[in-house]
Amino acid sequence: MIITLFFIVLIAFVINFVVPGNPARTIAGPKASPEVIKAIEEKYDLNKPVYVQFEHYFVNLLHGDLGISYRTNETVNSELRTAFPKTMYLGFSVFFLNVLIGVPTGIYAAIKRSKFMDHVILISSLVGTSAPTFWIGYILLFIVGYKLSLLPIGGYGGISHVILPALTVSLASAAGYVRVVRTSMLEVLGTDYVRTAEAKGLSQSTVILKHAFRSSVIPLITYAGMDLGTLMGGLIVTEGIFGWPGIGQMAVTAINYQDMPTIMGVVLVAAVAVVIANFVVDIIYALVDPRISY
Amino acid sequence: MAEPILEVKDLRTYFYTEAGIVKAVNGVNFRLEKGQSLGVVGESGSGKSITALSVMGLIKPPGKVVSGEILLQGQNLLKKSRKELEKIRGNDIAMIFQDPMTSLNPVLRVGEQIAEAVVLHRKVKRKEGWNVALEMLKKVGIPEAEDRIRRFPHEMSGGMRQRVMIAIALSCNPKVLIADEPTTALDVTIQAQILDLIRLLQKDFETATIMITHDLGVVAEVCKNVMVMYAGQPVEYSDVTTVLEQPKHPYTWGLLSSLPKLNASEKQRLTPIDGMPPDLGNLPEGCAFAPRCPHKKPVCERQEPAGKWLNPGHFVRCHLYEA
Repeated sequence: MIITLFFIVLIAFVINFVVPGNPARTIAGPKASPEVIKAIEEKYDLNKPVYVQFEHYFVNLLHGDLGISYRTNETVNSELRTAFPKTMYLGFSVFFLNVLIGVPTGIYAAIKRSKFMDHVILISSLVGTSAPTFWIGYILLFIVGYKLSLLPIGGYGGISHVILPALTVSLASAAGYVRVVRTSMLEVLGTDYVRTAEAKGLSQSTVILKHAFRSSVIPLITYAGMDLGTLMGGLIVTEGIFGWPGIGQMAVTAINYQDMPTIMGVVLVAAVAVVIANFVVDIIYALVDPRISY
Repeated sequence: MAEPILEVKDLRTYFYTEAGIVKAVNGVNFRLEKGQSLGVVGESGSGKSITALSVMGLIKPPGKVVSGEILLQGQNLLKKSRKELEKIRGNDIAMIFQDPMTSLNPVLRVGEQIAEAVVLHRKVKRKEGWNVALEMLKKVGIPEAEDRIRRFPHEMSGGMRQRVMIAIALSCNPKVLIADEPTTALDVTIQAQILDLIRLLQKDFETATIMITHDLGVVAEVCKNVMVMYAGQPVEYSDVTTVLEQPKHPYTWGLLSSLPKLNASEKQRLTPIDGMPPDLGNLPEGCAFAPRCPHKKPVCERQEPAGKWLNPGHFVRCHLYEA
């Protein structure tokens, strides 16, 4: 886990240097004199070799210091502390909607296999996945936010603010849950032990929820873990559309300004989120499936 | 004759596949009295298991029971709603499946898997259900039942799991027990133990048993009557001694001569039945066994034999006896 994170830091750091352009020039502005640029380079160590800069960064990182933003002159730590909870708020809302929409729909599609409703669900999930987020986002904004004026059209706030952006992401990503659940349910519904459960005279709902669904959740947990990890890394497009001040927006601004410490901070948070999500998934495996132990 | 517990009349179960209609069960009749045991033998694909699943009401699309009657104490199960059937399954009729390795749910404790049926059908509390489960595990001869009851299926051997399956099946004291090749997937030594167990419990619980197998040895040990099936139809039915010692149908002759005998001389070889079972989606005209029958007459390929009771206890479906 720690090795994974080390390499993520290293690669992300190096990529910053591959990108053309001089951060010092960006900071100083287009009209700055060579002396000013030079001074800025000195201040941020930009004139040192890459490995020295990396060493410097890494030592600070080990002390929990992510550096100072070139753009705002504030510490990246404090910027992340403001933005990350907002991303978590949106991310968990999306996750909650995904599970709420995706899991029952997937189970239902599996039961109705090859019937009319199964096809309807599969086609709409295909449409959901294929439609670009910005398109869904603007359509929802236009209809629900503008025409009907039911919900605020953007910004950060309580439940009414989170519904539209969460729904935007979820309409596309719940489709993945539908397919994962449907596939694993179909696999389990054909097994001998589901037949045994039916032979006991258990009702259809007991057979499906207690016997079939419980033993088919492993792929769902894997998928949900990956999804949650990704969501915690910020939703660049959606945050942009709805003006949601999370780390997705922070990343976009930072990249525009070649604000390396901030970019690194966002990358690191996203990476840690994915690594933690994977770790949690492994623990949950062992909890739900008695055959798995570590 | 005593009132039968289970009577099956002219049962037909077809599968509507893309390649055509597969007549998996094509006119099966039998009756089963209290505490009696019926062996159903035949090759793979002769419709034995589908007959059993039809009785359980577990035929899934594209399969369908197209006609016939399944009378459990005079009530036709084919006329019951799904809810009514759920009350009967596992309570009045229970089934043991072929492969104990895959027939238990891997993520539920064995105790729960036994108890849930008890809780459902006897309307008792969960705790009481677990008590019954423990009792059942002891009855089916599982050592250290107090510990095993909290285990998961993967922590048990095949023989143990089959004992658990039997415990599940008998937990609600069913009137009819269907055992679909309960020993096929087990080692020979375990097979004998499981058969003994079934025989013992059958006496204890006075359960009528249908033993599905392709092993005539199993039938000889456990059953009172035998039905030999071929291509979805019974071809011979009688008590076990008659079938084993004075079989009438050429197919039964074939089955018996393909079995090894202990007292046979070394030179005597086993005779297999030539050819393959017919394609159930495309049955030949006339007798289904005719293409493989060493005794066939011209009429066999033209007309299906209707079947005949040679005496009140012995049925055979063959032109050799029609007249």
